[in-house]
Amino acid sequence: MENFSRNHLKLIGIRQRFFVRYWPVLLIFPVFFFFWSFSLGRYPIGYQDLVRTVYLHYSDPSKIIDLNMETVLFNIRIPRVLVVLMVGAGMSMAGSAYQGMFRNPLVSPDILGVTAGASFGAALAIIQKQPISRIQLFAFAGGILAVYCATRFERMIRYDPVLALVLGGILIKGLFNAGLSVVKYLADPEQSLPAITFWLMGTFTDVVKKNIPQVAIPLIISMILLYINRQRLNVVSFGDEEAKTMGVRTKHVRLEVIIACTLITASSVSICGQVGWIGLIIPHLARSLTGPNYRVLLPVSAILGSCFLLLCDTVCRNAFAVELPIGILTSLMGIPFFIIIFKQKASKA
Amino acid sequence: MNRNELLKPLLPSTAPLVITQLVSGYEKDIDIVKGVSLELQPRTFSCILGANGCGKTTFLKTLLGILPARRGKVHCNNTDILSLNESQRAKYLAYIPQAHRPPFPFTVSDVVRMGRTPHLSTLSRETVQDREISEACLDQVGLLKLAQVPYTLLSGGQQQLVIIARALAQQASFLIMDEPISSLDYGNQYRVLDEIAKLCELGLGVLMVTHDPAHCFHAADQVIIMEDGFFISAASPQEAMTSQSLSALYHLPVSVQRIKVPENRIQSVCIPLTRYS
Repeated sequence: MENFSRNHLKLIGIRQRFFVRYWPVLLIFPVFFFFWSFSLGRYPIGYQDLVRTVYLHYSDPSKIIDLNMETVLFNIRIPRVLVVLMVGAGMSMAGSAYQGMFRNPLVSPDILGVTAGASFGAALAIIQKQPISRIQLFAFAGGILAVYCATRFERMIRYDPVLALVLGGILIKGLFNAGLSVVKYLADPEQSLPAITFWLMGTFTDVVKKNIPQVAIPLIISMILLYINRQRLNVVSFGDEEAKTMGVRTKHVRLEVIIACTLITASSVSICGQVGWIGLIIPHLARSLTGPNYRVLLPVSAILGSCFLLLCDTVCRNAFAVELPIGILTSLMGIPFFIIIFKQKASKA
Repeated sequence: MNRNELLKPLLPSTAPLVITQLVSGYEKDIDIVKGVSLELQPRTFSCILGANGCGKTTFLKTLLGILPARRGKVHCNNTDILSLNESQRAKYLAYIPQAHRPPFPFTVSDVVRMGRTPHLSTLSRETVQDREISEACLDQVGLLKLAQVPYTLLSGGQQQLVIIARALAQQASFLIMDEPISSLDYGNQYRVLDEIAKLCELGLGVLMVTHDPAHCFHAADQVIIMEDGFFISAASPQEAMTSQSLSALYHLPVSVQRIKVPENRIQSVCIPLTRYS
């Protein structure tokens, strides 16, 4: 039974044990990225001006000399940075929760068809020339509707509700993607069609101050709901039957996790369109740092996800003369990154 | 609290688990378990023997609440087990499945702590006592020094011991096991079996499904023979497992012999006779 020498034991997960205990150290990164992203942009703001303007905004607004700077900061840049941080954190938490629930490390938050539903909803609103707030509402509703339909298949495969959910997701995704094609086909090729195409690539350009509560409220509620279920998520990853015998009401946990992840993904996608890969890659990165225990994995996923998305968004805003759609960048940066993580894991094993 | 206190089942461990006329199945109108009755005593190792497809696993699933019972009752100390919800039932019955690999590399101590789930509050906060109990359970199976190792790196035998520690941490009165040692090598089979037998001494009742008569002769106090959805006998290994009963059960000529082993003990063995007939 002695397969493990002392050295071997020491080497296994020395890094993991560090992060399991001291993961709050990682909170430095979002704070750093926040200020870094803040100062960059088409209207560059030095750190000194930044601190002074923020200070005066709250203490004595009449003393502000550069009103433009105040507008840029408080109406455009702060909301955008905050929304990016929240979306990144939410999508990553949703991804890691789903990977445990479906017992499959290759699952992403849109496995139940949220993104397909949201895209269809947004496209519908776009061809009707609706304002941006209405597009967001349609996307949100479409996402929720798709997941609701996908969960209706639970009874289709008896005694394996998880497999039934996966199948439901595939079917509903196909259905809504077909719907999206119909809308695109009918769309006016001069205006609506390009608008739909750009929406699908994803961007945070349209984020304004009043979007903050619209993202923050559902996301924060869902994140708390996921964190409360952390121990049950651990148990559920051992399979439905085993989890039941360990005292977990798997049906309730599934429902709560699906509701939380759907709220997160639908409200994210409705604000910024499709931002792929983050919900798949970040949980892997987090797991390689902390191990699979959700008590630590959920907060660390949130921290890393928010940093990654903010990094991508900042590059999108600043790298080129025209703003790059963020969906392109998360894929371009995420996939090579994913390959590197996997190669490292393979070489260790 | 000393270690043995931590390991004891929480609920009164003197009450037997009484199963009466339990019926269940998967397809409509087709019963797989066709009305079985059984009394499981604490401090007793019971084994179920039966051919493939006779309803052993279905019976365990029904008992554990994974599959709804169609008729029948399960009682322990005047509590109707079948009407309890998952977390209440988990305090009576713990389950040890066949060896399998989980998809994620949880550490051994994480896996054992999962056994505390039915005792946690809605917000899932672990207390110091939860941690102490998990540690004592891991120590009981002799794997405390591997606490920080990923579970997926252990050998099959060690993995089953971890799962047993997890079930112990649940502090249930009865352990229900579905072929927990079938896939292990010969040495590990008996090491794990001996660990399970030790748990009976702590006051737990054990019910184990197995395909190997040798396991029953080695450790069981009571052997239940199941055939086509019924229990046809429940008695001590010597009474229940004769040449006739085992030949009939497996449709295979076998001979049960009593042989002398060191220390002047008598041990029964079951020998298949197909090659000689």
